[in-house]
Amino acid sequence: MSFPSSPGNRLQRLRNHYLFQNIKSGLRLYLSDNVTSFFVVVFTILVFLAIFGPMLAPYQYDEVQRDENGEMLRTEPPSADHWLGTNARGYDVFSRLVYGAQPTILTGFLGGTIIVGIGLVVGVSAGYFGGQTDSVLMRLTDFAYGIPLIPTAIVVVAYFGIGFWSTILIIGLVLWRGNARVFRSQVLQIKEREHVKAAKMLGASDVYVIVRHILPNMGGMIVLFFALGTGLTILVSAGLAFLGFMDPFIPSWGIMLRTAYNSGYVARAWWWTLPTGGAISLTVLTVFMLGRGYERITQADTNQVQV
Amino acid sequence: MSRIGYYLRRVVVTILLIYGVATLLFFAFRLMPGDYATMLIASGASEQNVEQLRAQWGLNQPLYVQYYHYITNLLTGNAGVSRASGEPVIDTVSTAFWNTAIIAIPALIVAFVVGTVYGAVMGNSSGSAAEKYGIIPPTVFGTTPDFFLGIVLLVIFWGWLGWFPSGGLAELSTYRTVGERWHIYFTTDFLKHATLPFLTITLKYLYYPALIMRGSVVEVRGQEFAVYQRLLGLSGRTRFKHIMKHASLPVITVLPALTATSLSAQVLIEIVFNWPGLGQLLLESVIQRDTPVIQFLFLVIASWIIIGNFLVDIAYTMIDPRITYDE
Amino acid sequence: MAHDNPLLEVENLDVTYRTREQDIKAVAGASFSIDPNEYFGLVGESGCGKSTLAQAVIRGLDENGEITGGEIRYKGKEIQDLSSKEFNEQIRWNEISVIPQSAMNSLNPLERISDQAVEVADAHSNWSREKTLEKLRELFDVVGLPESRVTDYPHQFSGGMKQRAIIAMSLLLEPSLVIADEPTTALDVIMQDQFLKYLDDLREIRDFGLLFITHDIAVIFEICDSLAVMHGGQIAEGGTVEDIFDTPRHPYTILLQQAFPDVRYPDRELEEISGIPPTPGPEIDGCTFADRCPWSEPACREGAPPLNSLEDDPGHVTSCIRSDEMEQLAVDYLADRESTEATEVEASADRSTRTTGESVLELENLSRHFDPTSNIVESIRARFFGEEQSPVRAVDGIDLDLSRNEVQGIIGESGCGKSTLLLTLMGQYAPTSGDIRFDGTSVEEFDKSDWKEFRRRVQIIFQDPFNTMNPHFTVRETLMEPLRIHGLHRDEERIRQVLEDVQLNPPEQYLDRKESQLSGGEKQRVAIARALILEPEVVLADEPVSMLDVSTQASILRLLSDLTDEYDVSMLYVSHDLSTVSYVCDRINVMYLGRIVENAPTLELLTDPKHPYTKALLQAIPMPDPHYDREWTQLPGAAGDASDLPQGCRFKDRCPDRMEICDTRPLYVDGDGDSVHKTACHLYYDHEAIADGEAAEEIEEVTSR
Repeated sequence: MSFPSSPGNRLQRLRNHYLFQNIKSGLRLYLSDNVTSFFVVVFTILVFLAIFGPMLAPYQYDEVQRDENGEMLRTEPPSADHWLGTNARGYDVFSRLVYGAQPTILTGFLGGTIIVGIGLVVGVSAGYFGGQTDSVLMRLTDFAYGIPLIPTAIVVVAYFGIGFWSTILIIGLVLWRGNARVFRSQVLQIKEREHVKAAKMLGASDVYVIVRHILPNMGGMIVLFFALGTGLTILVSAGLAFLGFMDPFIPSWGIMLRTAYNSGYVARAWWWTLPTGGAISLTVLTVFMLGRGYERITQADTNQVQV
Repeated sequence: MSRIGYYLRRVVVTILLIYGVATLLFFAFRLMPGDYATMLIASGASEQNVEQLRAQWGLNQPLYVQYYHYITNLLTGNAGVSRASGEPVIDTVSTAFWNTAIIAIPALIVAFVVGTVYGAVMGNSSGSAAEKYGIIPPTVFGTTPDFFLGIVLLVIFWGWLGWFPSGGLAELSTYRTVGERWHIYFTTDFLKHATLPFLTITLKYLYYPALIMRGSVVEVRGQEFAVYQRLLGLSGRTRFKHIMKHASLPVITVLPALTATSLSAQVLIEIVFNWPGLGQLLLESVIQRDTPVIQFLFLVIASWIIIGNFLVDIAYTMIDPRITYDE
Repeated sequence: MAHDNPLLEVENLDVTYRTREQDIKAVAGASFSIDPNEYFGLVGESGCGKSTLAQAVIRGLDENGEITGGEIRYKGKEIQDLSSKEFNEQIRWNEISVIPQSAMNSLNPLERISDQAVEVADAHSNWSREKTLEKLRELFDVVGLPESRVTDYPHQFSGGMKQRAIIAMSLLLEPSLVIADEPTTALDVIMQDQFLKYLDDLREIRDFGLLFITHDIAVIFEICDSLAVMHGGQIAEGGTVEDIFDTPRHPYTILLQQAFPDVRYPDRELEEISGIPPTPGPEIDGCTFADRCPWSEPACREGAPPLNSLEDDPGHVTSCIRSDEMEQLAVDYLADRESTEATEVEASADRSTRTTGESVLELENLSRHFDPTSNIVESIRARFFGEEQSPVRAVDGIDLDLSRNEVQGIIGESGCGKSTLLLTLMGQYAPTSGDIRFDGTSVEEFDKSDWKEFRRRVQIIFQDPFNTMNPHFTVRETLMEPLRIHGLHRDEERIRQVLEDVQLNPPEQYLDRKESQLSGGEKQRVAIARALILEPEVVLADEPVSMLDVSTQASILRLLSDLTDEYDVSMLYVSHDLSTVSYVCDRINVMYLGRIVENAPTLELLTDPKHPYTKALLQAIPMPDPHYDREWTQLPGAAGDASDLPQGCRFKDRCPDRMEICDTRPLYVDGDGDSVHKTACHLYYDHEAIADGEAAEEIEEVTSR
């Protein structure tokens, strides 16, 4: 813009910038619900664990625990030294749990990114360009809907080899189907708005229209689907880990459950199984509930009083 | 176009789709690196023996000949022989199929009916505290990994309470008492074994219909006809009935997609409960690279989804009079 | 209004909505009464509380709405005391029924209409199924629907038929009062006319009172006996339609009448009402019109004004505290206005002479068809099996010639192809055939930079003011955008200037506002500013005022009219509303099913329409004058389907003057010839002249294209 800007002015402008304003007013409304606030706190803790977990764990995740006599502590129930007891190999369950947050949540975020990324490209192109592009992309989406994820994933992993990254990629390559249609219908709606039509008819390029007029108005939806994608990726990758199709040397929660189940102590050593699975449930529940909180506020927006 | 013509066309499309999938699977598996034979080599079989096996399975013929045999065989109900067990693939898969179907289909139906009603009640009281907190239980079930849900049920009902067995379809002793294999489904021992996996599927799949129905009911309640019905002074029950009918349309639409995901869950749940169904068979075959079995399993799964879609389309035309048959 | 036993009396009614931020008083101290068999109109701008008032009567308020004071007496009995069960059994549908705002979508699409009627009867009476069906058939006959179709599903009915089915539903249990909430708002003028006709006919056949709620004062003047005018939750004035029309005593009524377009006087200047409807708060303590009133005094803001009868006419009530002086004040004010306007009008050149004659935009036989098969499978099937469906001929052979500085209108009902035409002009759709020439060059020859240039010189203004701006943009960013896209100098001064031109004064106050901080009229001004900032040569306007309230409409129309002079642009103004088009345009094209059927200078078209369709359109417009006795149009059916067009003239199936030749030979309004008034109708064609010689050939040629 053509008017001069001093640093103070710039800060002021940043503060007045729509994104900042939107986030501020959005957050206030978002946190007005106590269920949502609760899950925001849980989410913060989880992210904190994912970043600082390895520093916080009382023991190394693969450090065999022994008692004073040097005996290995196998499947010991919880105690003051080992809050969640030990597992069949004598590892401290609590430490493994804290360590496991990182790979689990990282998997989720990566998967969520891929899912939203592909979904956006497919959904926005289909909705924006319409016509044959639309029908080809939507048939592709129908096809993706027909793919049974876990059977396909295990076949592909079995034939092409197991890898941490490649497994996440496979999940992402299938699960974008869930949001492509929603993004498409969003774009179809936004595309009809006058400001979009006006920009198009002013001769703005497609990229300009998409970046300046369409994507900013989908912001909330993108965040919502990123949350859902994160949750789904965590669920599916835990499942694949449980089946033995994830890298066993990365101590994710899914791998922990697999070892617990295969050890034969699954029912007896409940301190091993339940907290681990519970951690997965809580994480996925958190992102889903954060998404639901978002739905709540957007609904509040449309349900304004009609005088 | 007439209704019959529409149905006929849908049938033809469905058959063509299944044929397309069969073709796709054939070529996809030819492109996969490594088959059962290479696994044999890895486990020490001689090159010569393997070549012999390949010739026996027809793997050294040109691709189009293989494809021709594959399709004609499929049409005559021959899906080849399992590389691992040497039994006809059809037999292996059909046993597993019935074991899965007998538990998964009723469980999914129960989940859908209960979930839909639950979601409708939620949506009808939207904004209230009941709705705000009522949606949490199905969400918790939905966000729990399916296999972990099974494990929790195992820990509680087998480990602590000892009410149900840990896994399998039935005790060996029961197997011995029945004559025909499928008679096993009518034993109390089978029911005992089936309870926990049944419960797991049901709980897991409450979530989607409940959530979709809730949103759908909220939306339908705001539609003009629903507002008018309120003005008309129709009783709450009558209005709820109408809203249910409308709101269930989107739930029906997602049904086939959900049956597809339910097959994913099936693999995990069958492993947890050691249930000899499609999922377990798939996992075993994958580990053994038993391509004919995997290929046919995928064909069965795809047909399951395609036929599911077909049935949903038909159901739709029965509920919604606005559907025109020429589209 | 001096009836001894009124049917419905509302007295001092207050309705409050509870919202998260604060309470909102939507209706404040409203009083009116309806006599048996009286048609009563309630008129006001959007948000004035008229619908809320009706909902309060029928207990249809939203959950957060509540009656906070006053009385509602039905046949002398207070009905607020009834339990909801009693209300349901005694009042609802048996006594008071409702025609909802959107009759099109109000019937349950999944059930047969007969079943829906039976459900209503079951809820409020002990009628047998047979009795209900018999009654429904009888009512179908009354509203002009075939009796045999009571068992149809709603989707088998056209829009107009659904409307009538809804009337039948409302009369099912023989109520004494029917409340109709904006029943005609979503209708085209011909459909509205048909609806009003049936409503009017019913007076003769059935006994019931009607509460008709609308923003359209012309409809009320036409169909009602009495009315009340609402503003900002208060009743401004009430009385018989003649009283209100002849001797309005509230400033709002006076100005509203002057603001209302009237096709009979297209040269009259429309009055603007300054300001916007007030945002209601928790309490109302003063006249809600005071801020917009040219005659307000401090006393107007001290306490809510009482609704008093006029001394000489007890049936005529008004809430203006200066009502005694109002007659004289209004006369002076309007006389004053007229004298200043007279000079203004003289200053601006007469419309019909200001054009220079040089064409800036020419359409020649322009067509745009759509392929109904949208997906690949379908189109492959169509290609291989030859089952090609006939295309939708949205725009089908249009000739039009827009000169510099000229304002032309295109009017037609929804679905006639006028929006497709605009989008084709803007290059959003490629023409199926025909040509568009801009400034002498065919757009077919345009390369990329020509298009960019075209998009600078031709601008468009849209209909919907609510999405005009990107919600994330400020006014400044919105107006910067055209400059940015075209790589022009982004001059803040230029933006201020254009804001002043569209009368958003002072510009500083508006620059940093966002969409949510602007009123509907202000948003539309921003849209106009955005179109003008590039100083275009042609502006296309797509129903720019159809979603605005009457008071705002007038000012936007006048602004558009002024700016076309000031900015030296020509304009193509598309609308479904002949009465607003006539205030802006020099020349009007009438469009029907993809073709132009008549083209004439505005005044001539209004006074001497030729084509039967134009005649019907004109005749269907309600007059804002209770003394004017309009005849209903007799136009059967609805506009046809653009994918299944008849041979010959497209209008013939609805035409009262259909001749044999109409079946075979369609006529076109084309760009050639220099007649000022062109009509595509055989009625005005010299058939003898074309029976032999060249002319006949010409016609054949035209027909075969």
